[in-house]
Amino acid sequence: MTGALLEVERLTMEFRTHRGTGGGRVQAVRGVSFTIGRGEILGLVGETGSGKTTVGKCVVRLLNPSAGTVTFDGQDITRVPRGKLRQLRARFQMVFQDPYSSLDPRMTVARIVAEPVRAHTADSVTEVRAKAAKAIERVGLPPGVLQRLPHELSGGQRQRVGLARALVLEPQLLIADEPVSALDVSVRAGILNLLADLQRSMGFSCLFITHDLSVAEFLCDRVAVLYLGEIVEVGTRDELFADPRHPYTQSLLAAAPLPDPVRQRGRAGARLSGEPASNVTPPPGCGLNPRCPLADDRCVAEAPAFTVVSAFGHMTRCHRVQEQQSGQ
Amino acid sequence: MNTDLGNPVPVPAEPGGSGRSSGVPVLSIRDLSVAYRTGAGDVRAVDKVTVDLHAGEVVGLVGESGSGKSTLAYGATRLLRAPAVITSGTVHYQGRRVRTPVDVLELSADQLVGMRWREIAIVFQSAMNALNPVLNIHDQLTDVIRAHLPVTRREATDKAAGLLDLVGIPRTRLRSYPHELSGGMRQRVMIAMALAGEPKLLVLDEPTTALDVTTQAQILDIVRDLRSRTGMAILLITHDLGVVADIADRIVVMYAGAKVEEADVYDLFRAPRHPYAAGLLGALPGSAVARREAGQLRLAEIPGMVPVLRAPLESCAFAPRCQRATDQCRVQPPLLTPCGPADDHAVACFHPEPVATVPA
Ligand SMILES: Nc1ncnc2c1ncn2[C@@H]1O[C@H](COP(=O)(O)OP(=O)(O)OP(=O)(O)O)[C@@H](O)[C@H]1O
Ligand SMILES: Nc1ncnc2c1ncn2[C@@H]1O[C@H](COP(=O)(O)OP(=O)(O)OP(=O)(O)O)[C@@H](O)[C@H]1O
Ligand code: SF4
Ligand SMILES: [Mg+2]
Ligand SMILES: [Mg+2]
Repeated sequence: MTGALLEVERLTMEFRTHRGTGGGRVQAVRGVSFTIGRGEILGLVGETGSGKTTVGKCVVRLLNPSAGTVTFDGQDITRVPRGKLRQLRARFQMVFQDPYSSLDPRMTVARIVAEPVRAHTADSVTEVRAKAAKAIERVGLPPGVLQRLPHELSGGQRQRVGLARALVLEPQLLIADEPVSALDVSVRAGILNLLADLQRSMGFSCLFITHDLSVAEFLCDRVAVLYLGEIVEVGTRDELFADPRHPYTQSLLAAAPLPDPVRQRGRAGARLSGEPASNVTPPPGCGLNPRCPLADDRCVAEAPAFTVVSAFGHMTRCHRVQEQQSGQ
Repeated sequence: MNTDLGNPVPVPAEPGGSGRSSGVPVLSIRDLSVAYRTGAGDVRAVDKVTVDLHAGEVVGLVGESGSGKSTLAYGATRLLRAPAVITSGTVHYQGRRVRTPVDVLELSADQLVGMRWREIAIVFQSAMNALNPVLNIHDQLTDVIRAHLPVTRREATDKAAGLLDLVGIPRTRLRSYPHELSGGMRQRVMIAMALAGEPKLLVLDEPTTALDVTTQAQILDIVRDLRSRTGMAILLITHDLGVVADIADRIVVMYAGAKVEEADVYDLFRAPRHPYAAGLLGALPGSAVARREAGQLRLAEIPGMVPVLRAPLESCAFAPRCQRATDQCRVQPPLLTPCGPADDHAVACFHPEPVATVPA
């Protein structure tokens, strides 16, 4: 097999807004490109409203992108009609941000997990049941939960159910949208270990959306940082965390609270000032310029292009980094 | 009962923020037990928990998923519905207009309505999905404001805009509908809404889990600021020990419906005594580089799950998962006992050796 499993090119998503907001369009995703290799986990990190979920939904075509292409396993799926999309859906699955609203409250766990099998295969009732039971076992839940309703489960258990449902058809691509954000540390550790194990044993590729850098650092092979609908930095896990180059990535790393009251409270406030710019009227030039400590005239005048900063594909979009690189 | 809840009288804000517990608590939960009546019998979700919340204090409530944190908070504020039943305990509240403590568990439905927003406000877990999809943000905020404060339409609009400023959302978003906002923005709207009535007690159930670190830091600044300006008492439920380390004065650790450790935040992080509390600190991703150098590819887990308790305990609930467990732990439940040099540190464990933590 050649090529990446997923290729996203210049993906753009605009939403029309109500007149009250000035009649503009929300530019949620602005020309995002990335690839995910077979068996690779790509982390997509960024602050709230940066467009992470929108990217995920465009990839699985829960949203129809305004522009750009999404190529899955060599096939352009951007404009595939709904009917054909149904067949493809079995091969990419999504786990959502919120384990509380993403499971149908009236269905038992057994039915929830079995649903994709029913929808996409001609399996007999016994086979469907066996697959659901296996999926539940795979995510580390006791068989007893099969007969329970979502509200009888805690958040961690529900997220495992969501994962079981997403993996029951053994998809090639898993889009995981903040699957551990609502979970406490020990449960989160369990799910992250589980995801890493399942990825190794099942071999799927994964777009892992998170706002938590420590989670991305643990799980992902490569990480892309999204700001105001644009990717500002992408690199292998090791390079990005050891040597973050974009001012935004640097500020994210500095703002993550340390689990130690003495060090956390003694820390200087190395966080971004101001509000994130509006994605209805993004600032000209670099999206970060109104908040960036390094911004100069050029940052307001023109949008920076990607600068490659390593032999392993570490890239970032920042005029100052580019100047440093060419000055060397 | 002397609770005149109908007639709001503004009370000057007391300076607070020292974080030291003193005087009569705003909320005093005593031996509260809550069960869920299910077809398969009662689930004992909260078991004889005692917690005090003082004015100007942030108490962090931590514990694994299913340990009963939300049930405790909602039980103490009378927000639970069937099949939940309160099976024991009292919850005394004393705040803005309620000058003599009242037992929240004894209040009538009408009296409770008078308490919401103006006395006790809550931001629910996954609240960001609770906004009304057909109303814009302006209308939702002003509805709440006008229902609880004697203000004109105009004043309500101004106040709504001010609340958005407080949580860092541009005022242009007042006319937006919930689906036009990202999850984090919706959560901030919910926090703004909870602050509308300037409550004396704010319960935040996982308030920053959906937020990125920059926004989280801003929200925690807002909470800190409100706490010291208004002397609000804050119960902060979170699984994020970084958040607790940043903002809490005291920590209550829950396991299987019970309080297993309570301590000053510095004491707990320096030397947790309950093996479960120590396990929580060990499960943090921390630095991946440090972990890889130590040859540790997986995150430390606490093996097993929080049990669902149906009968009274005849052992320590943590014993099946505990490396320190001995025969004693398996035949009787440990009681909460003061420990260590600080008088406000308590633990429910037969082997509460302090564990030195490695800095993250
Ligand atoms: N259906 C929609 N209509 C209008 N605007 C939308 C719609 N969906 C999303 N948006 C806007 O697009 C932007 C990106 O939203 P998105 O949910 O993708 O962000 P996110 O990075 O996932 O944020 P979070 O971390 O809060 O989940 C936000 O400004 C949001 O308000
Ligand atoms: N409606 C219900 N019926 C039966 N059991 C329930 C119900 N709601 C909660 N429970 C059980 O009560 C216990 C405590 O749940 P609770 O939601 O209070 O935990 P939590 O600590 O808030 O967890 P999380 O971190 O996942 O929010 C769990 O075992 C849960 O399964
Ligand atoms: S391009 Fe300019 S504004 Fe943008 S991040 Fe770099 S220095 Fe800051
Ligand atoms: Mg999202
Ligand atoms: Mg909860």
